[in-house]
Amino acid sequence: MENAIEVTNLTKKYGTTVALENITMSCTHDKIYGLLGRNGAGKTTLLHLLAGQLLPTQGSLHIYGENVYENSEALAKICYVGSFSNINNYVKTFRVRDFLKTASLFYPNWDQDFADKLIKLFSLDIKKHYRNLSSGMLSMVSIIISLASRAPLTLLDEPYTGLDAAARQEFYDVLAEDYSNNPRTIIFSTHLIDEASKLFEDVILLHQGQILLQEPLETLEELSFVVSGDEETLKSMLSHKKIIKKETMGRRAAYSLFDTLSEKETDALTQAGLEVRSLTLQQLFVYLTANKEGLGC
Amino acid sequence: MLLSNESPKPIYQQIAEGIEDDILTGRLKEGEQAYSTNHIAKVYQINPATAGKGINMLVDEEILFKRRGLGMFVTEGAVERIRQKRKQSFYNDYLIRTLLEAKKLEITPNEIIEMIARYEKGERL
Repeated sequence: MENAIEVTNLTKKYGTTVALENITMSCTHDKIYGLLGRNGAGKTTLLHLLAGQLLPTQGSLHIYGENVYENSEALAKICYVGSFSNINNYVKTFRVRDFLKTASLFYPNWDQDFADKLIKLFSLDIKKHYRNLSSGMLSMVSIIISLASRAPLTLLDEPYTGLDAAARQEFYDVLAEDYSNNPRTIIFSTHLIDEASKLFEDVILLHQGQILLQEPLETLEELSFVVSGDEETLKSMLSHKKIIKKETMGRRAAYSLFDTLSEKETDALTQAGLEVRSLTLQQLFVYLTANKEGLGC
Repeated sequence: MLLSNESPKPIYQQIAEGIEDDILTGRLKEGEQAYSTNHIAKVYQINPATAGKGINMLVDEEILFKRRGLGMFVTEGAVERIRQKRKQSFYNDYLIRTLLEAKKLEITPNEIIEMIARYEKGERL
């Protein structure tokens, strides 16, 4: 079977601004990918390209082996609910139920029972007009469409602007359960990394229009540590490791590593009185994207 | 079990250790059905593949076994197997930390032994 996503040497320019530069990546079936990147890194541009809403400047892009641009058969396999800010005046007269109805006509796998369950879960009033919806309610509408579409490729672009912490937890719950029962390929772009990271299987990190890394979450967990204690000891014991961040306070320091630490090495560090912890994915993200030299590889 | 982003152990390993803890304390008994991948994924809001990896680790170590069509079960003898394995890591995970902390506080090994004796007798420090 073809990959869900196959992108080769993809470049997207807006005028002279390069949004994505020579990206090559592939995504397999039935995985949740976390798409991370700072503001302006190119995440939304990438999702728009995947959803067939933009044409690449150069390079090729295939979803389930097909070109997506103006290909309605291929597009029915992709669910991408974009921002509500660029909808036209006609759509602005919609009520919640009209948005859901429209989506249900478009997606062949649409699950109305599941949509109804989510409406109840979020206590969303389907008679409400677009103009009376808060940003949190709009996010609920996007989430319901994204999940009930049961599209083989679902693109979630920062799906929860304005959602409170409790509603976000409900969303994670629903996503984990629904994905277990109905595996599909999900690309999940978010800035709330530590909240969402446990749901990821692979992580794609975009930085300044390029892919800085694409790795299984597990691999990253085994590559990101922070070791703290006496600076002299740190210096001598970690001299051969790739250090992405150093913080010092008097004679004490904390070195963040983007490197492996075997069990033996960890034990040796602990016995030397140093404390070893894991970096969270969010910390790793911050350090790697702080400056381009950060990666140093 | 509680999952932590800051533990030096990957999530799948934390899942495996959590299940081991439940077997050691008798919350899960030998021969009983263990948690399913999907159940763990839902309760802890983690990716099912991560939960699956933790479970497979325990299958490889013969702590859990799979019954076709029925799910995962706790192997007979799992408790003893976990104990043997955990004894090896007890030194690294617990004892060294205790001894390092004791050194900072200038507590001698003899004082620690006395504390243990008092604990065994049920006395407070």
